Amino acid sequence: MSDPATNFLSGIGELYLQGLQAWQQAARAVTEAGRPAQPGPRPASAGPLADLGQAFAAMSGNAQASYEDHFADATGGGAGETMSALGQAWMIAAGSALRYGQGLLDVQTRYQSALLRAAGAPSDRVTTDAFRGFLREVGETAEREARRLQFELEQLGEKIARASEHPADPETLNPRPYRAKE
Amino acid sequence: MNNLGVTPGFGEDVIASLGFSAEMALLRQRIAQWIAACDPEMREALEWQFVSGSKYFRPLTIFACYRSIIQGQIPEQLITSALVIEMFHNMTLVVDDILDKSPTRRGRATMHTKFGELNALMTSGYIVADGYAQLGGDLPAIALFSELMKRLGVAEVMQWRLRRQLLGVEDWRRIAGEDTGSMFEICACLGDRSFRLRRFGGLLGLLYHGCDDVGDVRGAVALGGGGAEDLRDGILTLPAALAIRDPEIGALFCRPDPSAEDLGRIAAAFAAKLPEAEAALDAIAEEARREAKLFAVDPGPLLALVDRTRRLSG
Repeated sequence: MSDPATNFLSGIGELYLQGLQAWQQAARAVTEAGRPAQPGPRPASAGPLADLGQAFAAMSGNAQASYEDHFADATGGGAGETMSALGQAWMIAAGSALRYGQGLLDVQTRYQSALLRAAGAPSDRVTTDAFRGFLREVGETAEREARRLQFELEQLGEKIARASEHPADPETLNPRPYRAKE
Repeated sequence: MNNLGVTPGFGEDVIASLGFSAEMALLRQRIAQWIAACDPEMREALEWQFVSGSKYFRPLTIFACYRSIIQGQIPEQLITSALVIEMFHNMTLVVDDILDKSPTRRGRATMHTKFGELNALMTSGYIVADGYAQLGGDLPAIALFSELMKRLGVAEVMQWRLRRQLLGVEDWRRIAGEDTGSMFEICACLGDRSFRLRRFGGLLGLLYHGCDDVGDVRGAVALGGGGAEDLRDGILTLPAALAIRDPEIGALFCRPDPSAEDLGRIAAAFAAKLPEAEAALDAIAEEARREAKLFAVDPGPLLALVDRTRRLSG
């Protein structure tokens, strides 16, 4: 019998590696774009950042599907509440990781022209200021997402604590998937 | 030095629209009671300082942060926090006015002009000491006010050390974030003791500081009138950080004794950078709105604060 939590974890792990790979490819492509053009055909693409955006969108969809595959049925079981909470926690964590990647992408997109300028010319004060702004925003993106993750997990924890203090009617909390014989 | 004394646009209408009229009336009453209980030697100077038309934007920020997280009446402890933040704020105004040699504020003589520098300095110390006494056993608030005092001190020293230098917008963010930013950060933490709105407060303060800088260039005298002093002293304001990217203006800005003609050229260069400065302020306002939406239960009061603050640049 498969363990939904382990399967979901493994699924998220794969998605994370895919995202990391996409990010590295995009970073390489951005760096290369700052260099003189090389002879030979270039692969058809809407641009490295657009590709990365699509990768994040796909990852978000895959994470939702993975959650539904592994946890959707678990809520009806004996340990339904725990599994449901665990599933929600993993969804929050996965959503946070994806949002973080998306946030970095947004920052990169906003500063792309300044970064390319910095790569191709000696630095001046305007470029240096822009680069410092880029670094600050990268840090702020991580810090904000960490606070958001913590906040969302706290809310989930409080919800669980409230539910355990005031348990609902067991009949309505975990409805039986069959009708009792009359 | 930045003189953020009066906040036009923050009148009774804003207080009423956010539903804090009763709390503000209580705060005014607490200020009057506190002054009445002070040493008679200090009382006249304190009355002069505290009746000079503050719009209570810092207390308003404390109350709005509380209400954005918790519904219901503002607790007594927060009224005390509001009283003490107003006391600390006035202390900074007294010190600013002495350093800037400002003869007037809010249309009347500054404390040192009317009572002399010694009296003004001693009164500012008295205000801080009694502020801590007012907090009683509220230990988290004591820690927050201590943090504020230290950060304001560091910010002022840093701002003075970095005057007349070729710095950028990122340097301005750092200085303003520690100066006005720290004041509003502490307001947010006093209002919401989970500190979830700390970053929001910092951004609101940064926005306020930037709007003041831009308002000064626009000649909005009512904003505190600190523009001429900042220009004379080579203080890094937001328009300055943008204008001195031009090497010619940068060289004029760094002169230790600029002539009237130099100051005129610098002022014109600052004015030319206003659209860029306004765009930077729009981005900061948007950051603040995002924080409010992410971390407040009811972001409404916080969004109203951001919108009102944003309008201060004129």
